[in-house]
Amino acid sequence: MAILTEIAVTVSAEAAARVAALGMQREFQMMIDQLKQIIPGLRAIEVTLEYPPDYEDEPAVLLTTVQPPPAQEIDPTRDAWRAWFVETLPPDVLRHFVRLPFYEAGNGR
Amino acid sequence: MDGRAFLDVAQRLLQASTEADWRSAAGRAYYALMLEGRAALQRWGFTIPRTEQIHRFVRLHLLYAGDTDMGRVSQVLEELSKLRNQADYQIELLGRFASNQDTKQGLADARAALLLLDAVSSDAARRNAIITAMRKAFP
Repeated sequence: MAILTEIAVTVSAEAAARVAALGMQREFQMMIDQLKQIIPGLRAIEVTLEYPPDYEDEPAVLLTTVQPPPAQEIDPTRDAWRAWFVETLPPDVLRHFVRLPFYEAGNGR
Repeated sequence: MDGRAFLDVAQRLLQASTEADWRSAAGRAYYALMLEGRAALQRWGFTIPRTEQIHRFVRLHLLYAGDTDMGRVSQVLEELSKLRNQADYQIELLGRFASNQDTKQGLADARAALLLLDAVSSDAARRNAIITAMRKAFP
């Protein structure tokens, strides 16, 4: 029997405000749900708003997935995520969001 | 030289042994892909901005190409840009640069994205459809 564990999702106030301003709460929730489904051993999702430090661009909502290092040479969840992302959501949504894995060997950083 | 030459530099840095090497490799991987994207857009007849807006220009043109592979390339570019930002500016946090794992994955992504970009460049029909979609999105 599978053991279901709660995965912590933390969203910074800035990121939440950006998602609300874009009116993309539904799409955002779809992303969170998808990440929970496709990443084995996912420990947490941390959502922040990121500004480019040295060039002009719009801020991005960054979804950092805290997860174990991949067993394989290449982490298959990276491309699995991108495939779902670009095939499910339109560019007008995609342009505002980005996911980046954080590989955590132990239980703490 | 071509932008992709930076991938070899990134690979050498990845095999070195310090945090500074791994952080620098992230930047080389990002610029390899961004510069190859810029070169492709230039070959396809787009006028390339000469300012810092080049990053946004390349990312969004690839995203609005109406092609899922180009969408993937755009995503890899955006992921690498975030990795590079953290590598170059968040140096007070060891975080993901405690090992070369994150940069190694990013470099592999950059190589795979370049293959997708090359496939489009060598397919005239697909390339023309992409150019049409880009011009429609950015008249």
